[in-house]
Amino acid sequence: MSQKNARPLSPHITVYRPQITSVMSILHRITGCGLALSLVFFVWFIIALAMGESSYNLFIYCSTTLLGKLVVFMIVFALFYHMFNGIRHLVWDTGYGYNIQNVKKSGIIVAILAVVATIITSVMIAV
Amino acid sequence: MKDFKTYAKKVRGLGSAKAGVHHWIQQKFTAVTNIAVVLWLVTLMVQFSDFDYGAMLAYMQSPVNSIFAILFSVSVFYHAKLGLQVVIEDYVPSHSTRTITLLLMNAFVFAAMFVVLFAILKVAL
Repeated sequence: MSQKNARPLSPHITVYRPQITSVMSILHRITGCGLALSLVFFVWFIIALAMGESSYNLFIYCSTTLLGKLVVFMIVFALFYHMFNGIRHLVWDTGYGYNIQNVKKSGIIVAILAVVATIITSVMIAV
Repeated sequence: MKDFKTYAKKVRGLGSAKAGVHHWIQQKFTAVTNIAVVLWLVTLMVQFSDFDYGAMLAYMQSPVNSIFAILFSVSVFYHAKLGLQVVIEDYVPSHSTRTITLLLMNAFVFAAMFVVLFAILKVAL
């Protein structure tokens, strides 16, 4: 706390049971940070392509190792989760879907869409 | 002398900094443009396994893909900068550390963006 006089704090997140609303909210932020970090791979890809064949082949070699594939899989999931949940946020911005049943419903829809899109894309990348 | 005033009490009445709405609108605008450019990148990733160096070079040299790559870089890197800014503002409590972190983050994101733009043009032209 940057405040000089420590004043009493209200109960913080640790006292609450995780709910779909809170978990999806923090996941949006975590995937966002992860995606920002994963831009390093886009930078690497485009620089390697600009530098020539040997550096491009090194990029391909690294991204097709088991670790590379795992990282790509995680990036793809984060991408779709952040995208679908972002669309959910955009819908909220128009003023719709604010009551708690709809928030839970749209949360479940986003989770399903993210998983399905990740599986389809991963299979298409692998094949 | 103990100061029991909250930060909110101290700044109330001073008026807004007039930057929050601008940030919010930029974040929402880039969120929408991100959908288009990210789908372009996903189609690239799906085709990736079929591409050797020559095929990828030819693919990225076509004007449509070069332009999408440029739009991707501007939209996504700027959206990332806006998001990281909020995260840093939320979680770094010390004012001086926060300012330095924000400056470094901006420097990294914009440097990366311009490096990528240069590389795209080098591939395309």
